[in-house]
Amino acid sequence: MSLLQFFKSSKSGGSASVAKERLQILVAHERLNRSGHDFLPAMKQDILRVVEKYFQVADNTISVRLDTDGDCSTLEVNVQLPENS
Amino acid sequence: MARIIVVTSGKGGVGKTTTSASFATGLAMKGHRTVVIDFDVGLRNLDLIMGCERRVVYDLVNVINGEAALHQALIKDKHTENLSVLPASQTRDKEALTLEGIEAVFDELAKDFEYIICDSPAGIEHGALMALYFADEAIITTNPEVSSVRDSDRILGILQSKSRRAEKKLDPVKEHLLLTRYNPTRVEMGDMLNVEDVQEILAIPLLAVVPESKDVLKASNHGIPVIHQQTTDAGQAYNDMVARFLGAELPHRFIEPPKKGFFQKVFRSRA
Repeated sequence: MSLLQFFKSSKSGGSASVAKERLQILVAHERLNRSGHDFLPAMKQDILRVVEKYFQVADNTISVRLDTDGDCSTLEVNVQLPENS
Repeated sequence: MARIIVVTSGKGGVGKTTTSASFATGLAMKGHRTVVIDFDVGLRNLDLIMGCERRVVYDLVNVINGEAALHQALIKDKHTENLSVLPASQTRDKEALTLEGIEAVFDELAKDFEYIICDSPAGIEHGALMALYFADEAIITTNPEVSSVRDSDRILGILQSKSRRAEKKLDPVKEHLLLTRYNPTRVEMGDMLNVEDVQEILAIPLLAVVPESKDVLKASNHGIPVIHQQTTDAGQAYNDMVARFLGAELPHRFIEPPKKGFFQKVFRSRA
């Protein structure tokens, strides 16, 4: 086995390159989530309060997402309204 | 002004306590009055690594609660002059640490010590936040492994937002990368993240690389920080770390695998 390994160039294609790639994507994503977007939960509560004036909605029926791709940010707000409204 | 340095990582088991012990010892060996504080309330372990577990009478929480004076809780290191240890409490009440309490202890320590080293507990909970809050500098202890790198990045985010320096909008906490348990042979085989990879991802300056070493376990078995073993790779790596921290410019070592002869390569026993 060690004789084989000696003649086999194993430098490329090791698992480390996979690890690096996965980490780069993950870390970039996590940094985005924490960079100054701490207001999202508060904003979600504010939106919910406005919607609540007109509909009976539960806390978990609203989702707020902020995505940034390059210099373009999109805010996605999803409110699930009750069926009898 | 005393410098407050936190040894932190997010992830557990990466070598924070080992590093705290050797880093503090190294600073003291260079003549700097140093105190190393265990912040891992409930899971005290620095005393074991420093070999002073039988001399613990009072601890950090006792001092904060006013049950003991600071000088009663400080343990003078037996091997190294200029070095004291402040052990953690074994209480299960994690909230025993308060910012006001810690600040008062630091103010008093600053009169007698040049360096205050804080050995952080793992995680990002109360204890870890308490350990890093007052830091001027941070040693980000990281293993070349995905979960450790990710957690280090989390902790960097916390340093940049939740520390005193961040909250008071002062100069940011100075960050240092310490790569521990590095195995150059596995790196060469492509199975372990290399120094450049980790540095590129975390984007902070590299302080030192400490190779994976059997001597670290041996040293903790004896309760003598591994930096005392200057014939070992790990001991020398920590020595380099301390020298570089104090401003020396040294080339990084222990990044290349040890050179082997042809026969060793061919007839290598299963590693």
